[in-house]
Amino acid sequence: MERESNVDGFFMNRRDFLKKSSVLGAAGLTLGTGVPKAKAAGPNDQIGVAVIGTGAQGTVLLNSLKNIPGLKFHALCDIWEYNLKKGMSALRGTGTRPNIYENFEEMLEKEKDVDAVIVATPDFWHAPHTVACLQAGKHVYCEKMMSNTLDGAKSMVKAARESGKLLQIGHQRRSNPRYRFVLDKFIKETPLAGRIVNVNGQWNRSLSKSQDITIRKASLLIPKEKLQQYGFQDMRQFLNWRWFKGLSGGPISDLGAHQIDVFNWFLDAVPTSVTASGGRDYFKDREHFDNVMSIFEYDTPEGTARAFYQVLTTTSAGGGYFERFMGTEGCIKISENPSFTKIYREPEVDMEKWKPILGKGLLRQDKATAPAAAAPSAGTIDVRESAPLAAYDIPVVLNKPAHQPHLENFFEAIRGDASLNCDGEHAYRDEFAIHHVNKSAEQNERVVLKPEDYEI
Amino acid sequence: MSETMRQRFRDEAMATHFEILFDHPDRERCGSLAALAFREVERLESLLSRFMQGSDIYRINNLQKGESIGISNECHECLLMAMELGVLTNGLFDIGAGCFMPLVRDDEGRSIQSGEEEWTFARRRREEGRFIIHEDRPEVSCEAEGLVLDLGGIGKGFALEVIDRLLSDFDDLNYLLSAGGSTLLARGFSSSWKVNLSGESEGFSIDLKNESLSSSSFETQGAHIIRLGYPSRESHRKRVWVKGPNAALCDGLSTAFLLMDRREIKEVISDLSFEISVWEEGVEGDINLLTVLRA
Repeated sequence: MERESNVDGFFMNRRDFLKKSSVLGAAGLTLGTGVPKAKAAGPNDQIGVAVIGTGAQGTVLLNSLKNIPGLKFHALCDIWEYNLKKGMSALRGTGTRPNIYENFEEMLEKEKDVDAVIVATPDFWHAPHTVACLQAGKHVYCEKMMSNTLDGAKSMVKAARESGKLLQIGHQRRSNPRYRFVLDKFIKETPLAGRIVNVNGQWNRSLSKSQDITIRKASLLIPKEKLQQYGFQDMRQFLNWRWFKGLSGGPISDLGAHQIDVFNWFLDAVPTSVTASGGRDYFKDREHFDNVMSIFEYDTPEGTARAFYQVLTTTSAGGGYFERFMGTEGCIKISENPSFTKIYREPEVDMEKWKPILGKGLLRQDKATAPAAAAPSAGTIDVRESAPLAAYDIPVVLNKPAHQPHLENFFEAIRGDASLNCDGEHAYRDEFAIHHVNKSAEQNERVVLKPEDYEI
Repeated sequence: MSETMRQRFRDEAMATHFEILFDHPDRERCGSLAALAFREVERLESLLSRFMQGSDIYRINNLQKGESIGISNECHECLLMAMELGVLTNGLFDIGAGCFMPLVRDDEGRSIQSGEEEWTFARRRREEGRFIIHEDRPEVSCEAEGLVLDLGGIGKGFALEVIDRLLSDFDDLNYLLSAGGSTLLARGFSSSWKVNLSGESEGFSIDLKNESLSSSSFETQGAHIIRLGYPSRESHRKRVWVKGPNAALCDGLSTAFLLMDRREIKEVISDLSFEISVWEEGVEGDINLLTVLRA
């Protein structure tokens, strides 16, 4: 049972609190109990929603979903009661109390008013859940990776084609306004970085956050028979499915999938080869590699580009998680975390190209790298420490939880007001190479990917 | 409790370090709980930081007049606690004072001086701003712009509370949680934790069991602590420690008590529904137990 807060209010007397709260009210914060804010859509415009998988990621999605007007939550489904409670709790205040299910087939059978299903289960369940929902006539938003196997991912695309229903894959950066702004303005419209020849990206996670999760409280354990019914050997597998072959693709697909998708998206190409190295360098008993380094080759419209990606689960060093597009004239470093985002200009690049961009306010010069006030006179060279590259900030703010725009895009597409930013067809192509990273590392060889390999 | 049984884990978050000590010999079992805790802090930071785009607090601070937003249960709970602390301290504990932070610290966290004009403008914005925290649901409305919420005075203590609930859900080990070394939460199912209250020249130990301790001082927080709307005066003390049943409460009260005189502190304590202990380090370096109230 989830424990509640250990105190129920700080005041000896609740009335004292309410009486005294006028003091704070005068300081700008007041307690309110008014009518919940009006939702934009009327009852007939509402989209019925169910969520399969209300664990960590499912709860993150629910915290975004509840901000989107016009949704009615009919059902939550999870095999663990602990997760279901968290899911229900996340929906507090929405005015709906969804039905809860352990079995998704029973949910699909009973919940006739569900229009769209959000799938946030372990990777090996994505294909069975998604295919069943599509075949039942529901639109599906499924978390990445599409599946732990290529066959699974293919079956999802085929089911979407056959059902005519929408399938959005949860590469949420595709709907992030900052990413879209950078792509539109600084890669397509005015290629500020010049020709992008190299890319690198990383997601490094500290050892302290990478340990196995275990649970000792008997009251929270799921019976073994039930776990096995749903494809898990035991509770350890259930809580740490990302480390197990057959259940996931390991860290490269867990963390890398988002960022390698951005490589493809920004380069407007898919890899022609993958070379990878990985190992169980620290966690000797894990099935998947704990550290992976990979190189992707691309044939872009401008020529060859090479991309390096690493996912490390034994260190947080190296500046967190980002994607960096390195061109002949500059470098675009972007991340879901805005503080890791910057655009750099190579020193020899003519400022005339950048002036219109700066003039329109599309970029802001970073104060720390602004040019010195006095330039040296012609024919002389100042001797000083190396100057940093001129750096610029991107003035686009995402004033929503990170996943919300992508979910909004999904529901806008259901209403016919938008097209999907990451449908299953595109996601398959973008995830295809990721499926070959572990294979390349296991076999210690370069894997060549032909254009026809990407077709379904 | 044997020192050799202790397992220590540490991670960076919320612009400080979080630390967990377990009194159990099984490092793998303890490491598993630490990982769970550190991932949770990372998630909480993404909800409670005013600097992270898309966080609940960031979204609240960018509300326009007449707008409402749904927020997470965690942020809602923290805001309600912060409001209670604000009321308890007659507004001295003030999460709405975020607009003053750029006047006392630069982007790098260094103390700075700002002109009277900037202070006047910030005060006016602060007075004009008004948010409604809906008590019955996790939602915030903006009645007037100007407030900038900052949970810096309570967020770390609140994070310890949330971690404590999570760890207690998963296991039944004894542990000591620390946020930045200034706020502690001790969970002792079978034993207590000995912790030091160290001033400049004096110090002593106390036992913590199923309770929290928080310390605030001008030395480490400096200009972070601002007594807004009150006449400036010499501080009575260098440091304050507050021991009580809730880490968020202790975190917030230790900050507020630093600025209060003894009469004000006693008034606050008389309103509380549970026992707390308060120590102060005076300007001469002497440490005194101010008060213990047993409800």
